[in-house]
Order: sequence, then C-alpha cells, then structure tokens
Amino acid sequence: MLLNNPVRSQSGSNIVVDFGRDEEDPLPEEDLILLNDVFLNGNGLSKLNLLNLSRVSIFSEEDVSILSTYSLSPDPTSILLNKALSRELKSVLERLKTPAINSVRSVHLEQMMTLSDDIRYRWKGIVDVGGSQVGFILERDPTERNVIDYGSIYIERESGSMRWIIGDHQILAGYGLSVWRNSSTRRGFDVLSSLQRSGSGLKPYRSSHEFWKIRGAAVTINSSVGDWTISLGHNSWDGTIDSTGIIKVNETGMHPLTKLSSPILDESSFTVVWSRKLEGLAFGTVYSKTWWTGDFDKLRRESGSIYLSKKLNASHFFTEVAIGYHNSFGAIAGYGFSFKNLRYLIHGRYYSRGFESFRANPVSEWSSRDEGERGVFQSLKFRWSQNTIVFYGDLYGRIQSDLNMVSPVNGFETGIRWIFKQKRAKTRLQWSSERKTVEDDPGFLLSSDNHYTSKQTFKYVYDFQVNPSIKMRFQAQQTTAQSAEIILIGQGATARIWLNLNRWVFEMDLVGAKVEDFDSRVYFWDVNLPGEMRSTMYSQDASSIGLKIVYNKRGRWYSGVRYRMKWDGLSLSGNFSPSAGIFISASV
Amino acid sequence: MFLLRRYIIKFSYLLIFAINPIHAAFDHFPSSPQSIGMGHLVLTSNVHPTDGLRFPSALARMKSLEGSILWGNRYGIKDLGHQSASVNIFAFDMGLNFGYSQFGNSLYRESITYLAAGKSIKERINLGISIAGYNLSIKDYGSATALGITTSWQIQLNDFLNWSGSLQNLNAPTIGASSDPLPQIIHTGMSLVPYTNVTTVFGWEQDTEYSGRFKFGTAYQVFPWMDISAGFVSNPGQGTGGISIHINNFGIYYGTSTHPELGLSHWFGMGYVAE
Repeated sequence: MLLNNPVRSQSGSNIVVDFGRDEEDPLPEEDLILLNDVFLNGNGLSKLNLLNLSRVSIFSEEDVSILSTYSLSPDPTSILLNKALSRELKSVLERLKTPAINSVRSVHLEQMMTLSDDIRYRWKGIVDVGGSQVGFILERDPTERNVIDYGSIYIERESGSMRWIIGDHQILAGYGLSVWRNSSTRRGFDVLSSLQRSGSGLKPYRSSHEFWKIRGAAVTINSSVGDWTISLGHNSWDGTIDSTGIIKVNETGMHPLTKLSSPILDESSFTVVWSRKLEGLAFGTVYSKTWWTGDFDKLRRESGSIYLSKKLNASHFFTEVAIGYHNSFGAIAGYGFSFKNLRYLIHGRYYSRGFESFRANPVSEWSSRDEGERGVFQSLKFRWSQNTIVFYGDLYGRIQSDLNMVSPVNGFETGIRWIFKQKRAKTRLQWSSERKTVEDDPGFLLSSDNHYTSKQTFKYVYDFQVNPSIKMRFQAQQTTAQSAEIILIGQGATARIWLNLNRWVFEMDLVGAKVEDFDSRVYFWDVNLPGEMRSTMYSQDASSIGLKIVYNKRGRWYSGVRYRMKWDGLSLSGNFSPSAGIFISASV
Repeated sequence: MFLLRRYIIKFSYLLIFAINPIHAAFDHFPSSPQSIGMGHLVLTSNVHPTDGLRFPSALARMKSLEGSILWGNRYGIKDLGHQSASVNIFAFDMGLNFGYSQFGNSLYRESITYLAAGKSIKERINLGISIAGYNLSIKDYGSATALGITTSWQIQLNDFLNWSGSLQNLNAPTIGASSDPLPQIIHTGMSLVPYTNVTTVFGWEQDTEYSGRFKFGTAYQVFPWMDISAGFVSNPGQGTGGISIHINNFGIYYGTSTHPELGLSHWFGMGYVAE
C-alpha cells in the first residue's frame, strides 16, 4: 500500500523508518543526503540514480552488484524485473519509479532551518554544469557569529575511465580500518547487509560533519591492472598536538573566534588506493601519509591496509588487515552466506591498543580504542511465509585495561526480532539485552556483588494502513537497566498517524514516557523533515506532541515544517520545550 | 558650546545603541522606501536599485537604466541622517548596480560604496552578489575600512510564489584596529503575488549576534501611478508604511517606520527610469 503513496514515502528517513530501523541506529547523514537527492532530482530509475543508490550503505553486496550492473545498462528501468532484488531495494525502486519531481532538473537548492535554543541554518545545492556536478553545503550552527561557520564545495566529473573530484571528497575502501565514512556501522538488527559491504571508492563529501572530509583533489583511474584512486588533501581544524604527540581536535562544530581558544591544526594528506575486481574476487590496498602542523609541533604518520572479498555461490568471505599509527594494528574478518530466505553472518574484529589510522571508523563497541577491542558479531535472518526473524549477538572486550590487576572490560549484546506482515498491517516485536562488566571490577575477586551493568529493551511496533491515504503506528517499549543492586525502568509509548491528501502530507505523534533515570532512557523517532533522521530521547517522565506538514509540488518544489512540544511529566500541561524545523527544496 | 554639543551628540549615540540591539557600526544599510514600507523587507519582488546591496539577485530583472537618490533621518534625529544614490544598468546579460550611501553627521560618518550584480542562470532562478566597501570616519580619531560580500538568490516556485534569501557580509568582515565585527545577516522569505496589483512578503531576518525578526509586508497598486505599502516587524515591534508615485519616467517615494522607544524614521526618494 505504501508504494501508492509516493509523496509520503519519498524521503530517505521515511523509507528507512518504514523498513523498521531502530531509533538508536539512524542512517549516516551521507546516506540520507544521497537518498534525498535520488528522490528529488527527477531522474527516476536513471543510470545516475542507480549508481547513487549503490553508494547507500543499507543495501547488501548482492543489491549493490545488481545496481552497478543496471547503472551501465541501456535500459536501467528493467532492474525492476530482476528477481534477485532484495525486498528493501525493490521497495525503494518501486517508489523511485514515481519520482517526487516529475521532470529532470539541473539545479537543486535546499534550505533547512531548525530551532531549539537558537536557529541552525543549512543550505545545500547541486548544480549540473556542462556534464560536471557541482555541490555545496553551507551551515551556520546555533549561536555561531559567522553566517557561514562551515562551508563545503566539490566539483565532480566523469570522463571515460577517469573520475575526478576537486574540493571536499572522501574515499571509502575496505571495511573501515583505513578510510571510511564519519560514522561507523553499528551492531544490531539492521547491519547484516551493511557489515559485508566494502567501501564504494571515491565520493564527493556531502555531510555537514566538519571533521571527516578530505579537502583537495582526487582522481580514480580505471585501468587493466585495477582501479587507482589518488587523493591530495589539506584541512585546517580547530585542534592541537599535545605534549605527548596526541592530536586533539574540537569536533563540536562550534568555532570560537579567537586563536587563543581555537588554535589551528593543519593536516596535509596523501592517500592512494589500488583495487581490483575479478569474477567473485575483489581485493585492494590503501596507503595514507599525513602531516600535521600545530602551533608548536609537527607530526608525520603513515597507515595502510589490505582487504579482500571472495564470493563463492552463496558464500562470502571478507577480511581487512591494517597497520595504524604508532605500530598499532587492526583486523576484521567475516563469513556470510545468503539464500533468498536465509542469511547469516559471522564477523570478528581485533583492534590493538591505540589503534588509529587516517580515516578509520570500523564497527566497534567503544568509540575510543585506547584500550583496544576484540569481538565477534553474528547475525541470522530468515523468512518464511509472512514472518521474518532476525537474531544477533555480539561478544566483545577490551584487550587491556588502564589499571594493573584489573580485568579488561568485556560484555555481550544479543537480540531477537520477529516481524509479521499482513496485507495492511505489520507487527514487529523485538527484545535485546546487553551486559557489560564495570571498569573497576578486579579480575581475581570473587564476589556476590554485581560487577556489571546490564540493559534489556523490549519493543513492540504495530503499523496499520487504514486506506491509501491514512497510515497509523502504535509503538510501546520498555528498557530495564541494572547496575549493582539498582534496577531502573523506563517505559514509553507512542501513537502516530500519517495522512496523505493529494500534495499534502500530515504526520502527528503523541508520546508518553515514564522513565526513572538516564540509564533506562527510551527513544522514539521524531517527526522528520526530508534529510533528517532524528530520534528523541526520553530520560525522565515526559510527554510530547509532534506535528509535521509537508507540501510537495511535483515538478518544482517541496516544503515542510515540523514542530514538537515536550513537557516534563505526563500531563501535557504547563510549560513545554519547543523544537521546530522548516525546510524548502526547489528544483529548476 | 561646540564641545557641549559634541558630548550631547555622543551621548545620544550611546543612548540609541544601548536601547536598540544593534552593532556599534553599520547597522544602517541603504534601503528603498518601498522595502521600508513593506516591513523593512528587501526580499520583495518589487525591486528597486537601492536594494541591490542587500538583495543583488533582484537586479537580474531590472533591464533598464535606472537611478535614484534617497534621504531621511532615523528616529527623527537630524544627526542620524542618511543619504544614498544608486544607478542600475543592464550589461553583459546581467543587472549591474553602483551605489553610495552615508549615515551620520560630520563627526561620525559611516559610508558604503558598493557594486552589485544579478543574473538569471535559468528561467526561474536568479543569483546575485554584491561587494561593499565600508568606511567609518570619526572626526579627530581617524577612519577605517572593511570589505563585505553579500550573496542572494531568488527562485520562482510558481506563477505567484517566489522563494528568496540573502547572506549579508558572509565573509565575516571586521573593522578598525580592534577588529570589530560588522553585522552578518541572514534573510529568507517568500513573496506572494496573488493578484497582479498585490504583493505580499513574509520574511525572516537574523543578525547572527541576536535573535531573529519576523517581517511581513504588503504592497497594493491603487492606481497605475500609485502604490501604497504597509508592514510589520517583530523584536522589537515596528509598523511600517510607504507610498510611491510614478509620473512618466519619474518616481517619488516615501517610507516610514515606527519604533517602540525611538519614534518615527523617514525615507524620502526620487528616481528616474529610462524606458
């Protein structure tokens, strides 16, 4: 039924929410921007859009392979006839068949204003100029004095066997140990496909995340001996090199205007990637050299990795081994098999203490790798009839602890999800549990005390399509957090309705949460404008109402506004905290 | 007596700047009486060459030789007088605008010399850029200069709706030995033309130092030779009004704006449009 509602469904965030993605695991901004561009550029099922979709991280290796094949085909629309498409990709392609913009446009401009304490402004644009694509993003964060506190621009062109980018770009190669996107893949229900994805190569940098781009020039050359990507970059960041040689970068996005409070750290980089694809086999290597110059110090670092992917019938083996800074190293390896109704993955990781490389962002429990990490993740997904079951489990631990005579922290996380689809309804039921030892737990001490923290989350989601114009969702969840003898409970429920009236879309939700403490917090999706995928966290008793109105003038412009009122307590009365956003996108 | 007058004038500046949340310099920009009448909104589709500094993309639609002079006093205070002149030509397939504006008196004077250009890059989209040289002169203290860059856009969404915006002084200019920042202002708005003789504009303006202001204005062409306009600005609440009279190729303009603390301000102008 959703396929008949192109207006509602044609934004990246809505699509992924329809897939049942968890609130704690939103898509990276780069994926959202790509999905939005694909739906708003008016090209429908074009070669360019299939290529762009192949860069979105949620699709499986098999889907990417199909997308890449049809992106070179003279009739890309025939991709819909391919029976090997996953349900998710088929759903996206069906929606794309009826684009939000009904003719091809060559200039796209967007403005987003979001209000919490102050207003954040973001302007984004893509212009086709004589076969080249020029994109930019400008941003003013709340309370920043400068109209543009962050700006990014790129020019991308493809000619024959060569593709080059001047401006802000990124390189995705291997599985995250060397050069990767600014957010790592999370472990959970939704990563069975994306963990097996290797990087898609050279891309324009389109995120408003300021500290992950490479600013400079890069080229990819396809040759008979493999594909070569070479990048030269120079970035200036707010940061310093401390007395021990550690680089510290202020990643808040806020820019103090005095040099004293915001010293400049210059980064110059050289990166080269070589990759080769043969029948069922892909491999490559990455090398990066980086020079940093702070106010008082200079540093030079090198890092690199080798990766390989081998497919044999339904099986897929992949690995990456990396040498990082200070002789640190990291390795990942995985094996998966995939049949139409059954998929499985086992994925192991090992990051030595202090593992760090040029743009590493591999899957991990901890964002800091000061004490190293090792872990094994498994996931199984199978379908029969109208049912889908997903299991996942992750065992992980630090390699070393900071203190002597103390065991490194370790833990596990596991979950099970059941989805039952009917003609007009979808039920999702899931349970997940995680348990982690506390950092000061002496390894030799046997004690009856609980030296761990644990959390269990139970979630129930029911979607019902009343008719082609109205969809409803009811969701309830409970989080139980335990630390020592203390048990904390957070409960929440939400009801949401979507209403489609010709070119207008209305979305409204009501949330109530009874939460004892931050540790037992619960999350619900917020009402999101195109290009957003935010969830709202409830860490105390609260209630809220959110409203979104979107107008889509197919062919020229798209605009929407959202507003949320959040009250302390469950009474929906008294003073509330507002948050709001307004969005306009025009294509000419 | 002269010294006393000087102190009184300086005191009046301090009073005004303390009451009104504005920068120490260059809060006053040249604006046409029409845009003043429409709630101080420069994003209107009723373009005027004087607004080229802050909204240069509109110049793309001005395809004839035009010129105007404007003058007036802020809050009825003679020492807060302003004068400006601008000329618009269409050349190189774009609208080009040259202008000069000054504000203050012989002791304290802010002047802006600017060059602006607006061009249609497609049928329904205009982009513009302006470069302004700011000069601040204080008698017996000296003078200082700065360069500011402004860019703007105007997109026709359909036959009666336009989306516009402007980023003023986006290069973050500062002035003087102490590097005082000049105002950096974000404008965004929609103009609506429901009938050929009615234009309504809704806009949002935020000086990045302060909270934003909502602006609203509407203009009505009463006769082919006369337009009237009225508007409202929030934070602080201000009412605005204006009238324009066109006789052959000549125009006479008047705009006024209230202020909750400081009283009325006036803008007068005359212009010529070569057919």
